[in-house]
Amino acid sequence: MRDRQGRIAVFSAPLGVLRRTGILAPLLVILIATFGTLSPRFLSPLNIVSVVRQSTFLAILAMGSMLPLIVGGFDLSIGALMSLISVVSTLVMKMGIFSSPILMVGLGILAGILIALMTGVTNGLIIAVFGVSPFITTLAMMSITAGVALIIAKGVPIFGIPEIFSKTLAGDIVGIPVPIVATILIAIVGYVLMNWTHLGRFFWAIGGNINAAKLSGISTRGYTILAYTICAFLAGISGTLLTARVGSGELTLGATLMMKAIAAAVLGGTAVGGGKGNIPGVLLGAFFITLLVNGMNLVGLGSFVQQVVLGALLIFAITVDRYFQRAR
Amino acid sequence: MTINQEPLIEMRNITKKFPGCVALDNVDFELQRGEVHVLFGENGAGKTTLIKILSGVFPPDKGNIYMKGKEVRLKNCHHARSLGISAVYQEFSLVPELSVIVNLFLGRELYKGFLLDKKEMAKQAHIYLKKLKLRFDVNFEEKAGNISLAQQQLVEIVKGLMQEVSIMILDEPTASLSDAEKPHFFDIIRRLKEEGIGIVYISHVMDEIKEIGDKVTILRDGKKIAVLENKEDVSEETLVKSIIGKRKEKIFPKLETEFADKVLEVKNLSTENGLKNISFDLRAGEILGIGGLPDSGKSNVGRALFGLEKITEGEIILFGEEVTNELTPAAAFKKNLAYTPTDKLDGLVLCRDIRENMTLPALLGGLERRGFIKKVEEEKAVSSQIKGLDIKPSDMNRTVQYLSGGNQQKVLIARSLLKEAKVFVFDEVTRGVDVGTKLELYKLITELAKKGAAIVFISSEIPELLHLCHSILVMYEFSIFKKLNQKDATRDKLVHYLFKLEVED
Repeated sequence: MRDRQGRIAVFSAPLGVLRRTGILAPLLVILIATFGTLSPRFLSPLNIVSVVRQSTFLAILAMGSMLPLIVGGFDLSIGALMSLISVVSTLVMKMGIFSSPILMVGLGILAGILIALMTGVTNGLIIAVFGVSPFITTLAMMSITAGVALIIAKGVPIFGIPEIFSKTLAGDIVGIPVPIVATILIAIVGYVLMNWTHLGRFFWAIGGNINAAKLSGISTRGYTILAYTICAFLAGISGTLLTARVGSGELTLGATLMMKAIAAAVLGGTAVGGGKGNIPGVLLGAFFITLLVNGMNLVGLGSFVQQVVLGALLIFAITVDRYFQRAR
Repeated sequence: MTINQEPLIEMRNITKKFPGCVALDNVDFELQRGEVHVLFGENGAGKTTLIKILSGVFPPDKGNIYMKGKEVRLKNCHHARSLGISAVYQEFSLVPELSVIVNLFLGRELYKGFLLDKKEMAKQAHIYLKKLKLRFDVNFEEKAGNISLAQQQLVEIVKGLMQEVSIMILDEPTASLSDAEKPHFFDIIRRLKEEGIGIVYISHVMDEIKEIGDKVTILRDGKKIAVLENKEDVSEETLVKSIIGKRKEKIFPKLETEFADKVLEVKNLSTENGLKNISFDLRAGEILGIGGLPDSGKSNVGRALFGLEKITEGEIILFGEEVTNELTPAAAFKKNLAYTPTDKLDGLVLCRDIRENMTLPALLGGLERRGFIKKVEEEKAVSSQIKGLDIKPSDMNRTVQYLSGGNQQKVLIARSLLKEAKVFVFDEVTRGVDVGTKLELYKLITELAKKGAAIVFISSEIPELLHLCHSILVMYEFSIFKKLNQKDATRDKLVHYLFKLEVED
């Protein structure tokens, strides 16, 4: 039996899965097999739960980074932005304007999210309205946000923030860690927005063919700005949750996360160059990368080696994406 | 002209088929040293296919090519280039950011040590130009992007000449030149002739063909109709007649002639891109054809109606409401005006599926409830369009990229139908579509009109304009040259008008 494209049907089902999830499914199998044999602890329930918990920060950030990719750009500033948010929100929490620590924590979180939104809108405006390349814009924004974080923190981490912050946001809700709940909520809302409203359709169309989007009456500028803004907003959420987890305002909080997030999105089937990308794929991508880092830690590969591996992985993912594009 | 000279190149029995059409059918072509051989014919006659074969872009399905008596098989453009065949297309291939001199030596740069030896390159270029006796008043140091189009073209030609060239292909070379620049350009061509270079010259401009052409080969529907061997034979009448010819017209559906109210009124419209003083009315049920040579501005009229051109003067009145200054694609859709662009690839998101492509503009009105897509209704609407237009494959989740040109075009049209538009602007809607699909599209368009839609039908194809349209606007140099009604429209008249020639009744 052959299907419509003439492939033998037995092979077409796994091929279909492969096309949808890209290279992620086979990679995951290889990863589990390798580290499962190398380290007995790797596949223990305790370790898997811990990986899921760790992967949440990356997952939220990666869902954000997916949007600029879908509209045909990318955002390099999200990692540095997380650091800035960490610094700003904790500094505001320590200002002591109100006597209630809860109010101060709320104010701090709000300040961080505001900074994120402003950064996202700025990125989007420069890219969509002034036509500057996303690479240059967000690279410069990365430098700016990292620099501002260092300036206002005067180069040192910020300690002594109200305990309630970590207790709440790094704690549990009905027995489930808050970051996991947040990730699930964001994933569901994201999935609905992408698949059940015009938002996803418009993002995909803009990245797939901006002319076609314009000719369909879509405000391509507006939606491009929106993509960068949502991306930065999610960087804000991820940064806030991670700060709560660490318990202090950290200057290099998101330093390594930007690249991981983009790698997770691309591994999860987001097309570099735009037009494609879906939430489940990206979640799986984020889980894969966290699992990989975890495995490397367990077998004792240091962080320097890990950097090399992650970089190579990103190049590999993009190459495979390109290959699939050309094959079409 | 000497008769028994061995030709530079001979093409014998060249046949090339594309899916659904025979682009060239047993065509012979030969080029002598020092002659300008014009290729003439209407759109789709096979001129471009012929020069693409000659310059190695693709091989013929059948037929042979001989150079200086020996058979050659052109493997690719580079191979053709190495045999001395140089092509200058309408879009230039200069690198705008690099200087003229670097462009001239692109790929064959001269070095002094590790550095570009600009002095030596300039010296060699000067020696060469002197030898050719070409007037080359272009500053070598200027960036190629900063010089005029005429100069860019000259640079392009000189760049081709600096390698061994015996055959030069010029595809509508004067399209980008102003009238003042043309005499100089013709001087250059005469110089090339003196050097013994053979020139294949594609042009629609009568005066130019008479001025510069030595021979004319006339193509029609992929066949060679005639070769005018002597310059004296070349006249407007012979050329126009050759296009008109006697031919079987495709079967067109019958047109209704009852019109309802006026829906669109264009008054003295001028745009920044050069449209001048365009006026016409359109009634519900009417199909208005807009014809013209390439670059006559016919597409710009459609673009202006959809808010894609900057309007400098005049008015557009849609359903009795003046909309001149508020037209954007979104506003046009909202006011029930739909548009399909010249190039269907401009309108489609190739990496997404049929469903998404069809409903893209519809989402903003009708297919959403409280922000959510009404997926069931969407599916119903899309599958009814797929059925109605007979789109294949009929699976709405199929990526548009894998569809044939005709089916892609149908997806694009379905988009307008889903929007329930009342005014349709179709720009070259049958281009790149096989014959069967063409007939389907003709039927679809006449049926739309029967149901009361008003249609602007922009086309380069003469039969379509004659038989599908109630009236025809003939554009020339961005203005309306003539208006024809279907009852007095003949092929003869239309062809004359397309070339801005008057006809005596």
